[in-house]
Amino acid sequence: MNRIEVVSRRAFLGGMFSAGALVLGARLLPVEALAAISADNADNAAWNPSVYLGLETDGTVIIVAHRSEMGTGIRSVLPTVLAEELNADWKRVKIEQAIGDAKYGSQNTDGSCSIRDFYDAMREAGASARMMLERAAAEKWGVPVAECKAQNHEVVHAGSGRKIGYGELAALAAKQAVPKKDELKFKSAAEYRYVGKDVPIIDREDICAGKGIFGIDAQMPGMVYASIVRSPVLGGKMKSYDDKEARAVRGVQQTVVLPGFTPPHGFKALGGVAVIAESTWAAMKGREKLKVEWSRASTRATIRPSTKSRCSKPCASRRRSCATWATWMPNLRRAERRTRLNIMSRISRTRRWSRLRQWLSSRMAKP
Amino acid sequence: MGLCGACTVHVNGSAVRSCQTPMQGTAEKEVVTIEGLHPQAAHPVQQAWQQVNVPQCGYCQTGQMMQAAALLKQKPKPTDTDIDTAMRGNICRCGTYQRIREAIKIAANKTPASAPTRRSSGTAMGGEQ
Repeated sequence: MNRIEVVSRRAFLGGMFSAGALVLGARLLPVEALAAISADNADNAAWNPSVYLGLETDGTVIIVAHRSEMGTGIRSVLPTVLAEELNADWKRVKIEQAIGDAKYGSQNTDGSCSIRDFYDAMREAGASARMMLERAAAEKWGVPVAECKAQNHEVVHAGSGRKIGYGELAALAAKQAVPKKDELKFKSAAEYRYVGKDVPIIDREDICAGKGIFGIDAQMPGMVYASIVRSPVLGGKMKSYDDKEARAVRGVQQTVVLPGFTPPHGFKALGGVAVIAESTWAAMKGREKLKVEWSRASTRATIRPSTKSRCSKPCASRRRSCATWATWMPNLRRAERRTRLNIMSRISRTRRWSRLRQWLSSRMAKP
Repeated sequence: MGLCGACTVHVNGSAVRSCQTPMQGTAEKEVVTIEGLHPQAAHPVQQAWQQVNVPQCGYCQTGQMMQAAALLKQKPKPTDTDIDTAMRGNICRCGTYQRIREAIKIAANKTPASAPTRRSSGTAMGGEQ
């Protein structure tokens, strides 16, 4: 259930679009949410678009990339889906990287989900805008819509061969009714120019010229920097800390204790102590001076809460007679050191075998 | 630091990691960053990088290109081993290594023709050869 609506420029924070631009917003609800919601309710749900498309009066198509670019090319690829259905000229498409904002819904970009979750929304937004442009051209020329076809950034009238650019139609298109979902007509795969084709990422030239912009380039007025001390083991709890020397480092402003998580870890944020400073260097130097004492006690609870009493006696005697165990023991010890989890002394024999199996399968998975 | 090579620049024509180069070490020396590699960003390495679509996220690529440019200056026709050795310290999380190697080879074939134009962007670099 994707809903597409004309968005007022005022409703869009940040003034990305100019006056007279056609701005469409499309909402995408996650599949799980859809299952619990009827079609009627979905229409009544709070309007919260997650995909934005703007058509400027000069013909520039602006597509907001609301996902995080981390090298998969998603910032460029999702907009191609929209541009495809819009029959836009890719050279006249401008991609705006969205900042983190609740209006986009969840922007968590992981698990190869972006195409799966937003392909339809992009496609429908593009097709909707294309139909609105065709309707606007029909109205302008006083001809049936069926005779108007949007292609490569302009609408062409079949009978007379008249052409009009997308930009000239933007204001009129914004006044057209947004097509209902069952009215939408999609292109066939054979007509695709961008989807499934080799389209360079939008910032390739900038990257090669050293002009690429990354998160680290972000600047805010009065911005500060943090460096965080974490527990040396997963789930370690902070016993005490002394930030006297850390705060004495030039440029350090304060320290902040970040609460740990309640096991199991899952995707929960790790706790720690953050040193806040006016520069990265000061934050790092401050962190070096921070004294934190950690308790390792909760490691056991993080891995397995209730095996304390079961692991001591039988293992000690049988281990020596077990050839496989003797062979893999050193490796497992190394794995233990590497993962910094105290596997051997804290968990039951059954669990050790399970760990060993995990470790073996991870070894085998590697080429 | 010096962990990833993303900050690689040229000091007197050699690739160095700027994150671990003290300012005093660069006194009287010529420092060239990616912006100075070519006035129109059309150094053979930059062109080759575009040609084979090397960048993905792009974060490491300025360092990769600076390292590659320094390699080609030293060894105009590098072998695979030369490339792997020279580029070893430049880490790419996206894993673009195959295309980096391909782009270096393409740039190697282009380098002689455009070598004279590089003198204008760095006399010290030219003089060193």
